[in-house]
Amino acid sequence: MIQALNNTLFRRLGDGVFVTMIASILAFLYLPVIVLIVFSFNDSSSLTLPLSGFTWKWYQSVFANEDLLRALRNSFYVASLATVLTLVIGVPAAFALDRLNFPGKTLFRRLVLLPLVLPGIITGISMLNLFKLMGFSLSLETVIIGHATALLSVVVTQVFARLQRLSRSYEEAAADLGARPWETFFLVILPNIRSAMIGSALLSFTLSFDEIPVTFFLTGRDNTLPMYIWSTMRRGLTPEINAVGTLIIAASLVLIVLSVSLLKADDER
Amino acid sequence: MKPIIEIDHVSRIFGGRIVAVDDVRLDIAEGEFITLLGPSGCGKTTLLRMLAGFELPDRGAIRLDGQDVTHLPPYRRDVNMVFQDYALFPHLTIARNVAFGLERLRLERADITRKVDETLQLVGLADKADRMPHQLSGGQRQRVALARAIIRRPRVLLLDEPLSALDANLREAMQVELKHLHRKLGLTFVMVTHDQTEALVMSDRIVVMHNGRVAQAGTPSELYDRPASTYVANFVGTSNLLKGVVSDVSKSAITVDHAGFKFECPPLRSVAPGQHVIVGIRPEKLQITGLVNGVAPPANALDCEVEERHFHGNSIRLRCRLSSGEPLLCDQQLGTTGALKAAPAKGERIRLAADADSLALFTEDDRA
Repeated sequence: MIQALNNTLFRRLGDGVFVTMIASILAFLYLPVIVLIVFSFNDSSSLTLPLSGFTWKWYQSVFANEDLLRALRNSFYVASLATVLTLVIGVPAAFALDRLNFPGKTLFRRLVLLPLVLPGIITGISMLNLFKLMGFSLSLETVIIGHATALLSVVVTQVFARLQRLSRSYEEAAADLGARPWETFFLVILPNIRSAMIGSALLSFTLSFDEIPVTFFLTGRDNTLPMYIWSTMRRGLTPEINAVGTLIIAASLVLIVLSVSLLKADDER
Repeated sequence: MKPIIEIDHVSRIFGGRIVAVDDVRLDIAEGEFITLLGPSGCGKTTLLRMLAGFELPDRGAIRLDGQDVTHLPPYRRDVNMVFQDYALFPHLTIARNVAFGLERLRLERADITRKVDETLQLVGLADKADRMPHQLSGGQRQRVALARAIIRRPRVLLLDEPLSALDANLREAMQVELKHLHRKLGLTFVMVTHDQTEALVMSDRIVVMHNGRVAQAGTPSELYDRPASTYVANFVGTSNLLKGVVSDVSKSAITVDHAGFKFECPPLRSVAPGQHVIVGIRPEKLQITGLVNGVAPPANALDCEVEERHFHGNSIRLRCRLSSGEPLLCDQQLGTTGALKAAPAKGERIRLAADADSLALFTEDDRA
């Protein structure tokens, strides 16, 4: 009896500890984000409690701020093109790794992965040197090349891993049933690696979108959004920044839900 | 009749060293159900893949309908394959999987739909057309793979261990179904398997392969009753193999001595007295003629002691030992009630005899 009571007591206590632990992990992860969202609607330019009232004015001022909007457009431009570039180079590279046997293949694989673990500042400086050497003038395009270099490995590793799991007999079956190589690629291989491509593209886009170190070294006169935010921060944290942050979070959520549902639809097959 | 497939001295060597297929010559007749049988690594799968076009021969030529297809890519060959892992496209429905081959031929949509319906009906999966492959059971997937491969009515259907992924009961049912399908469609079937029972049940002709070569080709009964080598005798069914020395050769029989026992084999081979040979006896061909008595055994009879009895349901297998120390297997059918009781007990000394016609004689060269 007492034993049983003890057991339930301990279990209750255990559950309590467990719940508290999970709550604190979630708080650790998301409290800053919640603070940011709350203050973006706070009717006061100082970021202090107590909250003084609800307002849309920070959002209005974001959409009236030409510099910020230009930076946002630049970021979209850079992230989109960098993503396309990583896909265009990364997917064939993943195929080469999976299909071809060539001397130095292992070295090639390691070297492709390297830029991901290399600190952005190193990538930035070295590419800056290279561009200067080649006489390139710095612009958003040089930023795109820099981002694509660093993010290539994301696409290569994801697509390569998927190709490894894709049984070669699918391709043989397609060829056996009369599909020419290009038909096999578009009708059988591509649908099966699509989710890996979309997933790595979304990740590349996000990473490129908030990248600072490489951008810092490689951009000319144009600013991307993180660079703009970082430069205005020197004048202090404004609720306007919070509004931008909230918008980015909302957009990311949409992207995440989209990609998860796409991947899930893929897995169900 | 001209063969539909001619395999003309074909070799396939991997990495310049490993000879997977070694100078194979084989003609396959139209409408035949032929099985390539052998253990893993005997080259049967490589040979099949060369027929499909997934592997290219290093030497020799393959002709389909008299036309050289040796270096033709798979998508230009009028053959289709059922893959061991079925290889159903995971992103397409069953109907789209089956339609894949026809869509490549640019047929009319309505035509394709009609043929897909027909073919799914043929394999009994008409109600599963809109499912995805992962929603089907192993046996159902097997049928889809079959439907997908036969819908183009290829000149030859290739089957790579088609039943190996199924459980025993289903496998037996599918053996019969495949056989029916073969008769119904009138296509040429080339199957690869390592399962001798499957080969014996399904094939018109079996090609036993060993180390990349054809060990023997023939009808199932030829292979079983007249194996060309001890290898075939052991791979197709079970055989007792007893070493002996030829003591006499006459027009009517070859006499072989084995540790005091005498065999009189049919004179189907040219051997000389004094030559070392091997006598093969199928376990079910041995009859119990009585208990061991003082009298010396007549020709083709063996005295032995029962060491173990294994009950197989419809038969009993006696594991015996000859006085020479050699083991000997003997199968007794249990066709009548009381047959099990009448079977010799462990430790009993019995006399077994076989018909001269059921004995196989191998020379040492046959051991391959």
